[in-house]
Amino acid sequence: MKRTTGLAPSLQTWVDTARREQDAALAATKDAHLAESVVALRAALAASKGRNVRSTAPRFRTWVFASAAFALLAGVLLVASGRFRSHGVPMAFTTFGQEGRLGDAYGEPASVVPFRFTDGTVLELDPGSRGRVTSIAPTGARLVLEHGKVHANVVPTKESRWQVSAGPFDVHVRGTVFDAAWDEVTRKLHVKMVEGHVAVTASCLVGEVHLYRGDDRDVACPEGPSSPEPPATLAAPSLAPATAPAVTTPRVLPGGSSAGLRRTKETEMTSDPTKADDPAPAPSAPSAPATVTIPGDLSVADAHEVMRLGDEARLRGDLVFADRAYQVALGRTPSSVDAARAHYLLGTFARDRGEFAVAEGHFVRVVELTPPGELRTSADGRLFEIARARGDANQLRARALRYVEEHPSGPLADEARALLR
Amino acid sequence: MPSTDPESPFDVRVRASAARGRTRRDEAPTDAAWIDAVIAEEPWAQRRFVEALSPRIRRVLTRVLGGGADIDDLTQDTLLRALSRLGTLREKDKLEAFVAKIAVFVGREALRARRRRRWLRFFAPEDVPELPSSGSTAEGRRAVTALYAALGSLDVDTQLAFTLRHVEGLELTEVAELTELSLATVKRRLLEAERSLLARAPDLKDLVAEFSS
Repeated sequence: MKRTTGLAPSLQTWVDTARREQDAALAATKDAHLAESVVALRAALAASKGRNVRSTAPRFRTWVFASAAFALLAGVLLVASGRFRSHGVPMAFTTFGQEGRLGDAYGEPASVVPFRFTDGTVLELDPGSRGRVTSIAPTGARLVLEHGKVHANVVPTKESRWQVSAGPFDVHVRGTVFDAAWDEVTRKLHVKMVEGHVAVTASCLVGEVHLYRGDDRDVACPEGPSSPEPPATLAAPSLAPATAPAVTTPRVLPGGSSAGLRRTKETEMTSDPTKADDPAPAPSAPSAPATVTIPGDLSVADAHEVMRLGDEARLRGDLVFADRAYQVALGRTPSSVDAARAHYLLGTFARDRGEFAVAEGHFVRVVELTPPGELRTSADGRLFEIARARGDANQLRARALRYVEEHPSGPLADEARALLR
Repeated sequence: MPSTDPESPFDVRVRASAARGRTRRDEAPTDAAWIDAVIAEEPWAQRRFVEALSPRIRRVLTRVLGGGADIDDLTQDTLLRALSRLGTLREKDKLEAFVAKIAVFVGREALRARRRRRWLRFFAPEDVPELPSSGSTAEGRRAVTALYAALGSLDVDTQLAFTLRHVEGLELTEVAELTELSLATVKRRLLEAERSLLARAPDLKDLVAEFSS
């Protein structure tokens, strides 16, 4: 576009050429960073409260240059001294340009949520999906996909260990590109491989399912009881029904970090510990017979200690033991904090098994026991999700309304509002 | 418990969120109620604020500075300043001018900073040529580099006035308002800039001839 602003003709041509060049550059500027801008802006605005906002760009750049120079110098020194080890480099991740937080639920109803890790790995949640980064290590991280789909582009290294978990399934990754989609209603994990190889494990699967480049298939637990009862090779004799021998073969647990859980002494418990404290029906799986044997540790420890043992088992992947431990903890007059946690975790186990009624009972107890806070927000979120999975429109609407009113800035608030509209 | 009050904050938020979906992204943000929502730090309103004003801010900064790797930072900086001072905006239909003025102010600071740093470094980062975008031409890139190099010999306010008037194509009164100079001063600066550039014509003769051909 030619503009005449009273400039000498030769200069005008020059300026017009420069303007066209700038216009081309501006037109090519995408809005891809706008979402990151909004998040960063909100954070900066919150941080600037109570002080005059001054330009941060030059100061920021000065720091960047100083930090880069320092990092370069430190890197040269480390390499020169032969002490550089990749596994010592801490891993971190960002999402929308902000430092990501472990355990926080992320998900946007209408846009992709990227998790960018410092080693170059990118995990992207599709619109409408939800996930959390639950652990992080120098060699990798674990993403729990609560529902929806994740696209993973994992940078391979010799030591990398990544994991995407969805429902009862864990996808173990060394370095590859793939999509994983979790349908919480059909309880199927769909994996589409683009490159490389992954291994899928689950307590309901015997062995591992290996998928390679080009594979595109569903992974589901075998038909039958919805219990995550592990295969025989993984069975936990300590949780066998009372008809099992009171003293069994010593149990060797994977991981082996908890010496307490290696003990072999087992004691019979003659009453269901959940009945006194928990009005919610006990989960049907892992099977909760009236009389069960439990490890000696659980029989003598107080509620808090039992919770700790349950947490150890859960983090190790022994969900059967963890489930029993949390039920036992509820029978030991736990503090309200422990009780709420136990109900919450039992609720998630039941939900993962598809036992929505049981899960609801636990989550309702969490809401009753817990003051406003993260746990209560999470419990209301799970109740909302269960209603959605069931497809009960009235219940879903009621829970969405409650969620929005109780947790207006909760991770599911936008989704709930969208549903109410 | 669910609220039955039709005017409850929740209903207002739901209606506002619904309204957001109907607005065009490039719609001029002149709605006073919407600006109030930005001041109230409603996330959806802040998002729309960024979406509506970022292109304009980026454009002003590009015109003033000629480009550079710091345009993103400066755009963000301008948005932050505008958001934090939005409460002082009295005439809400002048939001765009209010933000443009802040962008010019930020651009002026950046220009001064670049000039202060120029002698300190082997090359200033913003002098590193940017990667060509689609639609970019070698001739165009040379024109931009040469124009802003020539403008670099002028006073900062003179450069601002010249770029806003002749590159961005604003009216003289708009230039005066954005730069906070009087109309007479703007005219004088523009004349000064033109004379200076023409005086450099012997150096730029080939370049100008190339563009004129």
